[in-house]
Amino acid sequence: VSDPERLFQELSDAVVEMEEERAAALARRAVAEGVDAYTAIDRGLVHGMGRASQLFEEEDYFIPELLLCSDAMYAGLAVLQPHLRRDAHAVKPKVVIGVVEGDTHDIGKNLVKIMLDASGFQVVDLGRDVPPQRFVDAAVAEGARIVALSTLMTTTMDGMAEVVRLLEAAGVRERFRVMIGGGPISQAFATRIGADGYSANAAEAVRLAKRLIDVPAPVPELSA
Amino acid sequence: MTDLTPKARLLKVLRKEPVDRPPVICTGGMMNAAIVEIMERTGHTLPRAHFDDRLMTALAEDVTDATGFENLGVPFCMTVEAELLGSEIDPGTLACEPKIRREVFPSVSRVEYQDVRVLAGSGRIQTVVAAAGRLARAHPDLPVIASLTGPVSTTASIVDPMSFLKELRKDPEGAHRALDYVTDLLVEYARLALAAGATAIAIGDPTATGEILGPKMFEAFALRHLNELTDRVHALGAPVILHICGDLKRVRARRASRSRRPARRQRASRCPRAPPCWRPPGARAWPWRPPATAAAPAASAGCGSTRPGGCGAQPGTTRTGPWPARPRCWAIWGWSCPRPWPGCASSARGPRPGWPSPRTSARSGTRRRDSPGSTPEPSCWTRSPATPPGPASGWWWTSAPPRWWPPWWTCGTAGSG
Repeated sequence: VSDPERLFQELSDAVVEMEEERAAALARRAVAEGVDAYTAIDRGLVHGMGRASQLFEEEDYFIPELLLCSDAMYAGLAVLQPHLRRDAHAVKPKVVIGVVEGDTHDIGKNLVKIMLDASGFQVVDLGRDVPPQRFVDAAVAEGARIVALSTLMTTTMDGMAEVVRLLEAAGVRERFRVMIGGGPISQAFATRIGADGYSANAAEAVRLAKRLIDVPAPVPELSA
Repeated sequence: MTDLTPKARLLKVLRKEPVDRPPVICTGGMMNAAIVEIMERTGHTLPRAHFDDRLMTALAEDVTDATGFENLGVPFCMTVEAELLGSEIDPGTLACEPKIRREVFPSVSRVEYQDVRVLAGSGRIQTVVAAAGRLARAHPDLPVIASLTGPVSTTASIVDPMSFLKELRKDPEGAHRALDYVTDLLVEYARLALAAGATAIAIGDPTATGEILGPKMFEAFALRHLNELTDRVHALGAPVILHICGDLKRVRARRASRSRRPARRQRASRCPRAPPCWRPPGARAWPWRPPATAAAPAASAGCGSTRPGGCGAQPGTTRTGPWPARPRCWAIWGWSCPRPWPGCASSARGPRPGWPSPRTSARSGTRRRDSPGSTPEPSCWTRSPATPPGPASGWWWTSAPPRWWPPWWTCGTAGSG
């Protein structure tokens, strides 16, 4: 039986080095060696994704690299998830995320989803071209803490204001934090439409989400 | 200089010549000014105008009238190419532009390749080309800009963008193949638009931004295919305006730092479908300046090619690596060697009258080439060609390998310019 610390490091490296198969193989080794799945995820896969996100912020990694890192992370997760002990399932804050109606550009939204996923949020992805009312309905139905909206186009950014307006109209605005992002979006726009926060990129979105719901420390355990 | 027409002014600026004042243009395509107020006033509305060339013409005129932009730009969306290649589009509304509803291919390895010449003759490319033609005929003084969606953006609109971005790393050859295919279509599209009368080609390639791809991928994919597209449009004799979204500072910084390491500057050798000398620096059909030194024979020798005229490499360039045994698309050879007519001062474009037809060329070629005495003086087509006009679709846009390189290939370089 090898040193679990080294295994965690290797898992983390496999994620950073975008090696999907190696991540899965290492995860299988972790299971075979009886390493705690929760720790392997937290100190291996999630740790690696954290390093990848740091490289992304430092502009060493870009979107293609980050997507491949997340593939490696998910490959490891798929192996480890069934072996999680029941008590490890912490209640994770839920985020409802989607691209607003009229827009189908979802690379940014997917990145935010991956990063939130790797940071202890449970993400409900509504996809792209989502009508405003669906955000409201899904947020209420899922008991989400955060509604995250994305768009790349100036012609569709008003859909974000519409979501905020509908939340207010339904009398549930106070139950959710609304965060927005995308090419044409700015803090000024967020303030104008009454959103709770704006973030310029995926790594910042995680910090914003944590700040919005005031999560003290990263809540590990993920949804694959 | 005050009597410059907007068209002349734009062309001068694009040739980097002095002008009285900068031209003020709006290219159309991803950057268009067809705003709701204009459409409501004139009744020429989107999304109908995306699909009707008369309406598109009228709307382009409305935009120019209402805004004062000194050009006419078509189309008004970024989905023309992707739709033609099979993606499902959402036509949008009056206020919202069309977009891709579903990309047709899940990965670059699943792209189905069709004949781009057939494709370019169909679908909304024809709408845009017809509109550009109408505009050019009705407004000879205004530049007509045909806007293409760039190769990276178009490929990311036919292949699921998440897979595409990953496959830039996982399957670079497949990604290049898909990008080559899209680039071929775009060149064909540009050719049709220019033949119809467009003044310039604009390329909008937002997905090619270094902010998404990073400097390495930008250089390996975006830069290579944008350069190829630009060169091939230049070879058609038209200027190219390129738009990429985002901040290029980091990409440029990286390129600058790389250029300090000359050992790594083997840019062209990474291009599998063109010989290393396929794009000689400084030798371009646009802007139609005579070359500083007429050096055709040396060029062919320097290139290492056995073909007359070579592919236009500068003297002294040496070919590294083997000549590709069988280039995938012969049509490209004609276009990507951008020195067919460097001596021609004319800015005319489209199929040149007087080019030998493919059949004639192939039959009589060898004899002509082997005995220069019987070869008619290489002449620019603008100087009343000796050879009779060939069909508009010469061999250079057929996929058959040319068996003979006609005399005009060396036009202008042997002192005839």
